[in-house]
Amino acid sequence: MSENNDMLSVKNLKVVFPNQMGVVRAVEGIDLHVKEGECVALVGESGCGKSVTSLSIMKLIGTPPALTRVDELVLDGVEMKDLTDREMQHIRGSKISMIFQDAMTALNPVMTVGKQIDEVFIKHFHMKKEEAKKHSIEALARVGVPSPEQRYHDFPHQLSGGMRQRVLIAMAFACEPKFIIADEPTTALDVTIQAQVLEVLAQMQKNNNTSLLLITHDLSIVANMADRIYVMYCGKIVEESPAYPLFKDPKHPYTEGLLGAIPKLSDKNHEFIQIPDNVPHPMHKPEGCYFHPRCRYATEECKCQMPPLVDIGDGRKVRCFHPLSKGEKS
Amino acid sequence: MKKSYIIKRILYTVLLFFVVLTLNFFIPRIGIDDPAERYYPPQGNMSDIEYDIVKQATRKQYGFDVSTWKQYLRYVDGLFHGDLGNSFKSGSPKVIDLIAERLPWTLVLSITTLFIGAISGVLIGAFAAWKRGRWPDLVLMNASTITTALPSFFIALILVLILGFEAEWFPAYTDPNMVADFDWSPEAIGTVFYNAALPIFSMAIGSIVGYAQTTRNSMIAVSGEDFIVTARAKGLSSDTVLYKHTLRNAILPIVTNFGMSVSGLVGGAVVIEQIFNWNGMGTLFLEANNTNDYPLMMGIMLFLSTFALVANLVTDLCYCLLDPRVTVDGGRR
Repeated sequence: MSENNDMLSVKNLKVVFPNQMGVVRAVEGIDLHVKEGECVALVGESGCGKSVTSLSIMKLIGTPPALTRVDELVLDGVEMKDLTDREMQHIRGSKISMIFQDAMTALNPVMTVGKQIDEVFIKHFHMKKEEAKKHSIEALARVGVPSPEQRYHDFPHQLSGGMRQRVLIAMAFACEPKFIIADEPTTALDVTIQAQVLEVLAQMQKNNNTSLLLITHDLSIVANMADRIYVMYCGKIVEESPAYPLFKDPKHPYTEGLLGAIPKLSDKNHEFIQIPDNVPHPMHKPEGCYFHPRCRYATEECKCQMPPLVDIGDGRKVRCFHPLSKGEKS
Repeated sequence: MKKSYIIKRILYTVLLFFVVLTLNFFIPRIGIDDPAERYYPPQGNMSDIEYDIVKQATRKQYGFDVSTWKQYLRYVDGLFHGDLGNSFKSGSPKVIDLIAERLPWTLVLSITTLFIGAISGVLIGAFAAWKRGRWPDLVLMNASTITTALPSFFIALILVLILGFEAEWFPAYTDPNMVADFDWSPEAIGTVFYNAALPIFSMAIGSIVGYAQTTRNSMIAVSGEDFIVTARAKGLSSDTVLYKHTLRNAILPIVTNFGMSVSGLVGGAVVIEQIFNWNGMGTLFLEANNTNDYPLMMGIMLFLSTFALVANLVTDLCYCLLDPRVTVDGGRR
């Protein structure tokens, strides 16, 4: 699995949050790998551990409260799992960077956006202020911010949501890192702006040949961008597949449910499949397969045993005793 | 946008000043009777005609010989010439001179307390936020519960008992000759601070804990914000994140606190000054109140409220510099 052209390789990542009541197992041993220039999506409902995973890759998760363990965390050939925070500071922002969900809160409200981009250049390229300013304005121009010289002096609250998100993208791409994590980059935006921002993100990724890990709960935005998709449920990967086959022929009942929840205008007979109930409480996950209480194909076997992640060929893996085949899908 | 905000704030403050001025003139007059009858009651052997002459003279002396509106105009006119009227004290000293005489002694206490409180409070609070959940933090949180429950005069009495009478480190009450003997010599300044130690301590304890708690809570709130994670994701060092991102945002509530303390600077602490027999503004106000010396009361009130207005204006303008989101409508986009 781990070939030489992997930009990022994560093996057996575990993150737990101990508290007085017990232990919350946010991430239960997941494997991820992203190739150079590839866009990989990590999809799942709120609370399934997506954001914790992304913060753990950046080593930004607070320990305490969290406890993390990982067998392998390799970025561009560098093993990061034993690096100190000081050593990580040279990697963050220059080799790996992150785009956050809500640009309003992710930007410092009392600093101009320009100054906030400058910081990246000053830190990693040791630029003088004037030089950093020049580069920041260029960075803003690249993500399609109109009249970037003026916007450079604006505070975050003076920009629209879409512009703020572009600023975050400009900041993440500032040092042309090889790997970028985008954590729900468009969730806080309305649909038309979403499309524009995704377009900018896809363009930037293509131009720089950056590897992108796109984290989202929304399968529809993934369809046009991702090369491969990981589906995550309750802290475990339940399905891994190249993008197109996953949409055409989902193997895990949970993926089927997620896809069934997207309304399609073209298909009049489209059955609107709904996943019943809610995500189980992270401290009281069910026995056996975590999905079985909500799964319409569940059997006795599913109730007592956690199915393994099985390779089913064509680069696809599924964690299910009864993976769907095309005929079975109604 | 910024400029119009500043101009609006200043105009608003000026308007408020006139409202305060007017209220300050009329409210005492509701309760005031004829100064002549109050201060010069008819003597036994005085005829009505003679007493009338006395009354007229007294009214004229205190400015009651014209209608209330005329008195008001005269009062406003006097203000713009720096005249706050004359006190009823013997010798009719000017109110402004009385204030000028007492103010420095109050400022010695209040400014020292403010700076001790703000500086050590912010440092302690930042330390507690850094050691969040561990013993320095727990000590601070419990101390703040206790000092909030204890009024400063109670702390003062305990300090007097322990440090004043038992240990005899500091004088339990102010040396009566301190003011008269003051001559700017180093020894005289030393004496002042030696005498001021206990009043300052008793007020500073609450102030330190107040600032420490504000700082701690604000730091913790800000360090949980998303933009702190962004700053760290950029690869900034923890020092840069702390000074350029966390502190800059966490300082806003502290500035508000500071501004509020500044507006209380000149009022003096009535109770603390009484306990230590300290001749400051608080004592002056109490004297004015006890002797019904309303020109003096009005003068002090006007001085205090004007100072508070200006302090608030300055705080607002500082806030405007520190937080770009502040505008007149207070709206965020």
